[in-house]
Amino acid sequence: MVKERPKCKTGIEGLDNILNGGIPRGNTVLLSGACGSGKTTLGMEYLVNGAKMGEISVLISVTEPSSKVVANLRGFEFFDEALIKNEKLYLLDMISLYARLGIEKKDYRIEDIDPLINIMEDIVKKLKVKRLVIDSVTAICHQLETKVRIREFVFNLGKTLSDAGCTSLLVSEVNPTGAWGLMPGVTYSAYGVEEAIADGIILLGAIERKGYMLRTLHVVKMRGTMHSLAKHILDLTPQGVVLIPLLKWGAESG
Amino acid sequence: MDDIDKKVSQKIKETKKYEVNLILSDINNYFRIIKGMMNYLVTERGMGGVYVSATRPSKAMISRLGAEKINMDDVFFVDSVSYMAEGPPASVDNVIFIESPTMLEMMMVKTDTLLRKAKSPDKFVFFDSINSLAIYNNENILSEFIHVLVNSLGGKDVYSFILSVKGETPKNIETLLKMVCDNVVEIGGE
Repeated sequence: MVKERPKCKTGIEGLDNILNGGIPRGNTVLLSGACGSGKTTLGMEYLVNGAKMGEISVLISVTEPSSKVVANLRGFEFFDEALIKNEKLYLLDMISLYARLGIEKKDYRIEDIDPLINIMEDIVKKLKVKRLVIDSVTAICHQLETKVRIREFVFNLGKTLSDAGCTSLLVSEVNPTGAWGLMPGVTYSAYGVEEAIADGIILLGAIERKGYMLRTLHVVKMRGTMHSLAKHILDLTPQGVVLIPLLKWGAESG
Repeated sequence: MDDIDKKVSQKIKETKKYEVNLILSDINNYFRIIKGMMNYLVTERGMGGVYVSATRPSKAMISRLGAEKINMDDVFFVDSVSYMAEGPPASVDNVIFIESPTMLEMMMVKTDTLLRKAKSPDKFVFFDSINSLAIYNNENILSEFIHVLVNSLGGKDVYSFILSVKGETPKNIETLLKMVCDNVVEIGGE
């Protein structure tokens, strides 16, 4: 029998069961989905739950300022602002990262990427970060221009985080048609290379049932643990993410 | 208390938690049977719980049951009718709206969510009704849903009732309900 690795409990109802206890510690997981699929909420709940368990949890928000992230989080019952004050939860945006890098401008050049990884490594080590979410890795990859650079970036980032014992979710934006399931040619990331390097892929999507959309979650792969391959319905509630198995006869549209 | 109230009270007083009861209702006494159920569960037994409404909008049921002097303060509604009938409803305390009766999984998720809100020590789930769901869902998915629903309710520390109107539910579905539910209670039309 294969011995399973220590797990990082997400604390999200249903997800830990799907993952047979949680994400294997040190894994770098691609959290893929189209806009509105629940990626940011799931990522934040993962961090907040970790912070509540005493693990230093960090969000690196590439797409919006941390003040806006906090404003959105206040709508969720799982959020406790004291976690920020008590330095268990850190919400960092690009402005704060630029400041650490000594960069004043708003756009990176390719050569800024290595310092960016270094500064992330520095943050993870100095703060003893156990959980990290980068929202989104797609926005960073967008600046890298070539697939080779993207592959290098994701590989180096994953290695750095894993070596530091950090369990990370890299939010990956995909277009809606690519979020519908395991269809030939479907990719789980904007550039199609991130998924090959990541230790796990959690795909958030949607199905249509008689004209109504239902959000779904599907763990496509997760190294280091057995996991369910079933598609689940994902509900975004004021309490956070709730998951329930998708009725099999309701899996098809129409 | 009228005859139907007494009849309902007599027939469901032996029901137990962790059991799922199929209530086979007479079509002519549909509302009176629901009133009798709520009267027994809420007024006589002091329970709170979740009313899953797939037949009539929650607003109508709250209003009608309130008019019967049933205190609905600790009864929470999962309403899959209003949105479809009237468009996006305004937010109402004690009600979660679901966009369509085809979103069967959401009914279960929201029932769980609302059960946590009910404060009464003893709780119920009342599902109104399977025949309404049969209008919007085909037999395959409805059968699967019933199977999952009954197994889910049967594992909860609550009194569970699934209403089905006699003669209005597809035969195969009614047969399945009788097979998977712990008790079958026929009320009205005997």
